[in-house]
Amino acid sequence: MSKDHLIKDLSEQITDPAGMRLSVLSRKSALRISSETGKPLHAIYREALEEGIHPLRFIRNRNTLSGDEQLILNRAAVAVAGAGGLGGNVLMLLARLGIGSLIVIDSDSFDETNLNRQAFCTEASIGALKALEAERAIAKINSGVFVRTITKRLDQENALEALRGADIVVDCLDNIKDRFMLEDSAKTLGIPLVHGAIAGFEGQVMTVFPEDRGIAFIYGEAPGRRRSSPTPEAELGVPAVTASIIAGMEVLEVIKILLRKGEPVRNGMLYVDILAPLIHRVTF
Amino acid sequence: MPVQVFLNATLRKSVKGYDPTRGLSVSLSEPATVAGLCDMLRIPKGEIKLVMIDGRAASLENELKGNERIGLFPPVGGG
Repeated sequence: MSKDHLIKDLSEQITDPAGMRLSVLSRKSALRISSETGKPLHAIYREALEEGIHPLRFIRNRNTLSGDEQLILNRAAVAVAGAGGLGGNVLMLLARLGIGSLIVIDSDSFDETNLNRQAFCTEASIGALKALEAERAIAKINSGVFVRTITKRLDQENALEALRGADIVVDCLDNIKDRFMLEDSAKTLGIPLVHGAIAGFEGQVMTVFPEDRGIAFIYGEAPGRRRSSPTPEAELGVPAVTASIIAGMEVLEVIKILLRKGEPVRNGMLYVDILAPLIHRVTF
Repeated sequence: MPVQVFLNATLRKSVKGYDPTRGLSVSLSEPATVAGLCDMLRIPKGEIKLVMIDGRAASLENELKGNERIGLFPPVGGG
């Protein structure tokens, strides 16, 4: 079998659940091509999509995400700052969606209090670095994702290098000061930032393009000032359901930005109270 | 004049028995501002980072005309 036509030769014709005939490439065949050609799995998926052949693993994304759109996701690189409550869920969803490259940034290790909400925290992973655990978990979900991990604490000096190559950065941090630093870096690199934050059964999402004013709309202009009272998240805690829902909304923003579909929440904030339930859309 | 007020996150504890689904229906006498409303409800203004009036960002100094839907938000930053 010629190596040039391996993808086509190993693809199969199937009828999808909606009754459409189409060519698909199974994971088993993709792995075989990868071992015969030495190309990474995400390159095989990319080439298959370029030839109009659907990786079987994404077949249930149709017709919500077309083959062409799946290809855009494959070509994209997304950086996720924080691999905890929001970040773990965001990374899991981005891996399932088939984002080609992920940059996972977190300097912390899992502890027992993370078990309540953090997607990649298990009893066995307590003590392990969150970023490395995320990389392992992502490989189990989709080994066709190229993952780069950063286990240094992000600061003004290293942030630009950490985010280099990313098309979008997702803010899954746990404090406001670092969020401003991340937004500054995203603006310097000229890439959009998707902001998410939670406390109790409430959370918020906002997308910031480089030319937008950004999270100062939400937090004001004084990120460094110490508060005398505990933060809302310290007082109300951060349960799994809120982390999961706001993470899902952050990933939706990523999809909207990459695929130019729907309307990203720019110069405005969606604030969700999942218990009431209520959604406030605030326009700035 | 009536206004509807939605308190969020930690601001809710300022008003005993606050119902998150319905918010508060408050009657104000003119002239009224968001700051005056907060004083009346004993909501600590220093805890408020964002004021929403009818879906638009506003400030504590904003005057109220009646029938507005007001949201008050503290700085939510958890992940």
